[in-house]
Amino acid sequence: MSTIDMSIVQRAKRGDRAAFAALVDFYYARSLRFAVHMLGNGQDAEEAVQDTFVRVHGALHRYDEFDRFESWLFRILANRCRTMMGREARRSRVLVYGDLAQDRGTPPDVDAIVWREEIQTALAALPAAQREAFLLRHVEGLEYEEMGRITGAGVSALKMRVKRACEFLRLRLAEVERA
Amino acid sequence: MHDINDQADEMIGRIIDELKTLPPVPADATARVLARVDAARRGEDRVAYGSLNDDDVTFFPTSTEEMRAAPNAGSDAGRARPSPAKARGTGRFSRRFIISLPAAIGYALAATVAGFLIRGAVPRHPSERPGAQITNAPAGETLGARTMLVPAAASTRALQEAPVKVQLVLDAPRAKSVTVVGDFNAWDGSRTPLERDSSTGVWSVLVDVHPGRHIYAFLVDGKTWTLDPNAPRTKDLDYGTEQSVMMVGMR
Repeated sequence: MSTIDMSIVQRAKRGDRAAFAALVDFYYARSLRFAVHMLGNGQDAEEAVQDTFVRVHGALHRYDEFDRFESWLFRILANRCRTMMGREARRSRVLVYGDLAQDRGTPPDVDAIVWREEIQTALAALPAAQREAFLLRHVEGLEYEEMGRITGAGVSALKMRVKRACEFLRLRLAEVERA
Repeated sequence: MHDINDQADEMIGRIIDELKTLPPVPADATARVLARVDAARRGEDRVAYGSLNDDDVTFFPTSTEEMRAAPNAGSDAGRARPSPAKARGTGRFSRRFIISLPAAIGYALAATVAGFLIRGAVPRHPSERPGAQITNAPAGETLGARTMLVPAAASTRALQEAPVKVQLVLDAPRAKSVTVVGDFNAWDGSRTPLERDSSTGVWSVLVDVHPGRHIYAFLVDGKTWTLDPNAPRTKDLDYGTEQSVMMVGMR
């Protein structure tokens, strides 16, 4: 997992606008990926990511460089997603995952599209806490200690969430493959 | 038997590979962020620029099953948990703690009580009489920070709401620069530099602060977030950092 050159963060922290823009460029897609998977809605995910970077800019001077930058960023982003989940829980998740798949311009491989949609459906069916833990661990590649700082949960509880998420996803998608 | 940490098998691997695909990013995404930052700085964005708590922190609760998974799993989040000690170049530094929301509320209450003590709402320290200087640091202390209030003896409402001079002090003899950032200066790291006493290495500044509760921290050498070792602390609910708390009494 690539990480940003800390000199860019330091320059952004000193108020360098170009450096902050570079920082946004670097992390936008990853942030959007996490937000889309968490919120299941492309528009909400965009809003969450935009809000997050505005907050990041406002708080950069308080960023402690002994913390990994992406861990700090995801702490703000994950909290923003949780806040929005409370607000936007009513919306459909699966539809938007499908939209994103189209936007991405994937080849028209029907099996691949079905597989992707089944993953998205299964992910959306996970309890939010398990989905968050699974994504942070396996998609964003964070350590459990970092995840603890982001989620407020203990390491053992996070491991349990990841385990449960894996069990659920494996079961659901094995059924799809058998069908 | 699977490790509880990583249920990585072929099926999960395929799922992860799919989920790792990055979504398309709108071409104007960064430009929109920058425009919103500009708007937020002017106070024209829904995100209050530099605001601490315009989101509530909403952690997912630890379930009973997760608590049972390991003897201490459920209490991990609620237990103050210092991060590994980190060597830093200047001054004295505090440990960082991760605390749960209920614990944070408890600490906030404790900070409030501490604030009342500073203010004198509960039994007053003899020195907290009009005209006296107040410090929350032991007399003669040579290390750490001291917050001294310089009260006046007026009683009208206008005067009560007027700013109070507060002296912030940090002993950081090896620092090249020290500034204070807080809610009273819009967290602007360039606005309130401290001056160094060349004979003692102690940095200080007088700031005008309205009565009430304020949060702040020192920024050493433009980058090191440093808490006031003698002030109560609170956790920034949005960003997870800690800040010092001062309660400034009315005149």
